[in-house]
Amino acid sequence: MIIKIYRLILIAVICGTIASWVHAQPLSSREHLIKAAFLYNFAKFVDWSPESLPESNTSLILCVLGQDSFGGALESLEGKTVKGRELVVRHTTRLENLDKCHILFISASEKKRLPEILKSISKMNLLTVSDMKGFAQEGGIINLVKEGSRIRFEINLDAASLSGLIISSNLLKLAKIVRSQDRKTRK
Amino acid sequence: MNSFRDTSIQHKLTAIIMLTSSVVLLLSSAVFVFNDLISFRSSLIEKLTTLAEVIGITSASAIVFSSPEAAEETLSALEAEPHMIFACIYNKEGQVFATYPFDLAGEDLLIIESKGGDFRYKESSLEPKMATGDDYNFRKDYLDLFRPIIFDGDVLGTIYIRSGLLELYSRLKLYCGVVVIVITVLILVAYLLSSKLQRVISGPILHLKRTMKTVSQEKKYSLRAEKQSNDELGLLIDGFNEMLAQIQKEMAERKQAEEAFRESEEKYRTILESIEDAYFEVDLAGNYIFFNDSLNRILGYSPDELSGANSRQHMDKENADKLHQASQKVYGAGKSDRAFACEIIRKDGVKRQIETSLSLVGDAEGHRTGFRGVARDITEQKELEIQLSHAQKLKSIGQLAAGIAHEINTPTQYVGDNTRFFQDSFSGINQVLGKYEELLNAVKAGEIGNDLVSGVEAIVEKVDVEYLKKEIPLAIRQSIDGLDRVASIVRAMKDFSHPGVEEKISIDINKAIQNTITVARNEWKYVAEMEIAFDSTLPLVPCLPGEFNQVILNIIINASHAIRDVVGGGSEKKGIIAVNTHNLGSEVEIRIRDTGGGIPKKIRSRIFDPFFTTKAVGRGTGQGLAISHSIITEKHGGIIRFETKDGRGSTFIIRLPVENDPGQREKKDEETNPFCG
Repeated sequence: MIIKIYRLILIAVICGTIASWVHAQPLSSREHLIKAAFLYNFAKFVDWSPESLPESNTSLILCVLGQDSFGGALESLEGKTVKGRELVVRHTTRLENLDKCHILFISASEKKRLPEILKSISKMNLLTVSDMKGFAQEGGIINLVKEGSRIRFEINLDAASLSGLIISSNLLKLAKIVRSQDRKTRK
Repeated sequence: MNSFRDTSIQHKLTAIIMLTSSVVLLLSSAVFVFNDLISFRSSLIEKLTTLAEVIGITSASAIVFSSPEAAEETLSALEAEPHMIFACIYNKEGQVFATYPFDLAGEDLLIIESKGGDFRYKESSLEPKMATGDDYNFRKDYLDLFRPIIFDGDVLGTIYIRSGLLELYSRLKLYCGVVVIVITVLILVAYLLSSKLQRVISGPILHLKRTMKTVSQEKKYSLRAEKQSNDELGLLIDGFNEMLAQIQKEMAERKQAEEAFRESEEKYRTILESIEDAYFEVDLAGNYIFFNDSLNRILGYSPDELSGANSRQHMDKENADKLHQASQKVYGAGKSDRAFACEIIRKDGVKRQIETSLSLVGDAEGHRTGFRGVARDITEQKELEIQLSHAQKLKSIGQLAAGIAHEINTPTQYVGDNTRFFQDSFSGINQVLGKYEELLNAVKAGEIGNDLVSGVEAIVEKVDVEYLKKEIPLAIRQSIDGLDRVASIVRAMKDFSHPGVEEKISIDINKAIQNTITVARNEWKYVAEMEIAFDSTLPLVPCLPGEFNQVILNIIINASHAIRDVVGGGSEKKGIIAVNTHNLGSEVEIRIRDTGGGIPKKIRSRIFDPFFTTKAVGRGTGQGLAISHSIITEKHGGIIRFETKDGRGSTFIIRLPVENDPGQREKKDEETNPFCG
């Protein structure tokens, strides 16, 4: 009950914040909103293994590693459902906390320790998303890239198959497919 | 419709079968085509829905990730669909997201929609109802289908597909063609079949019709229709045959009846035309309606002259009244009258005596419509009766003649004897007178001789004058008596026959009866004693004396005969004939009783009939009592009847009216004896 009230208050606060942002900073906030929507929508085109996302588990957890660059847009995703599951957003800075996550957004702030991060989660059934240049080539699965005014994304199929994720062809056809630079070495 | 109603049953049956099968065929074809079109339509919708679904799914990511190019690429797969006109994907906000073909601009789409003029349509194209289910709309040439793009429970947008209906129409065309061909062929087959099969029904009916026609045209009621089945038609034919049999039977019966009727009619016609008697029918006014030839013959008029003529035209007023009265009586009494006589005047002016019987003619409801009658010319009969009566009279006189001769003979004989006695006596007396003359002369001369006196004495002795003196007056008296007797007989005969008296005169009945008894004396004197008891107060009665006497004579002779039959002729034992008269005031009664054997019961009713006789041939004519009856009843208006007892004798009773008033007499006739006149 307390949680619900808290959530309501939180949503109201976030909504109010977003609304004020949309008015105050239209350009950046729009990009943030689109990126957040993308994150949410990716979940719809990706199948996790039953072990990591069992039927009984009702939540799909989106973890944000590092500094939240969405400017509060991610919070708007909170409570939305994907494939009948509630989307839960978690912020973390530590890698140890990632085993419950399904989607991991790696902030640009973590660019330096990216290989470490990727390495630590390489065996995890975890969809990694970032908006760093060369993220997919580094071994990330989906990388959001900006082409002009539009946001597009790259998908590293190898990384995806390594993670045991199945990505829908509908998503793939929109994506720019990239390969890991160290693909051979990784294998 | 009337012309159909009048067409032959063959055509009707064929037409009905054809119509039924055609309608059924058309309906089933229509249902089939309709059903097929419906299912085609729904399969088309289903197909397009599936297509839209697939497009929706495949373009979901494109929408989600705002990639119209990807969506258009997906849409471009529609190129494989031959009837696809265009497709369009709207996003969540209702904006056109992607189109097929690529160059279809959103504005064009809007124009197309606005051209359609369907605002809801346009609206739905601009703002598709994303959350509600499918929406489709069939137009003339195309089908519009909307389907929300739902991905993971979210409505991402709407897909709008317009597909041409050419396939539907070409399918329809094909169906129509097939249906037309199939129906044509089937109708042809149905026609061939029905024109063959209708004979099952129409065959017997037509056969029945032909038979019926033959029967009615040729009157061949012996004909029968052939039964071909045991259904209602068979029953119909059975019924028809039964009817024919009935008709045949009835025709035969009718023919027989007609034959019988014709024969009977012929018979009665022949009778009617061949009888001497006239048959006629008149209406209530007496106008002739129907009559036979005999009436023409009797009246002397031709059929044309008679028909419609009144029956009273052919008689004088007196007879017309008589006829009127007679018909009134028949009308009143409601039953037929026995013959009454009247006199008609023939066309040639000759009067004839007619005897007519009348009876009523009634119609079916019992109303009296006229009279029918049988008339007979009895003129000759009447004349014959008169002649017979004369003959009878002559015969009775002839019969009497011998007796009368005998009666006259006796006095004549002794008058003759006496006369001869006178003659003989006179010659003796003459001799005596001669002697007396000689004696007288001698006395005168004075010479009286003894011989002379002795001569006188001798002749007186010889002639027996004493005897003559005694006998002659006796003879004279006897002769006078005899002559008186002859004279009385002759007078009685004269009175009896009354020659030349044709009209009634008032007579003394007692005297008349006495005369008759006298005249008939020879008939009864040997067998009966006559006991006469006349009523001296009897008035004079108007009478035809000759005829009345004949009646009395007849009865006395019959009485004598009756007694003779009992006692035997010439025997010493005699019967009695008692004749009495009584004055009854308005009538006189004459009773003549005999002691004969009486009249046998079985002939009592017939004794007054003409030509009826119990006597041997030659002895009686059978006319006596018939004529007596006629004389008393018809000519005198009296009554004649008899009382009789077997073995005890009979009494004939005659009553004659004293008054000779014709009116009173006729009235009396009507009351007592309607057919006397």
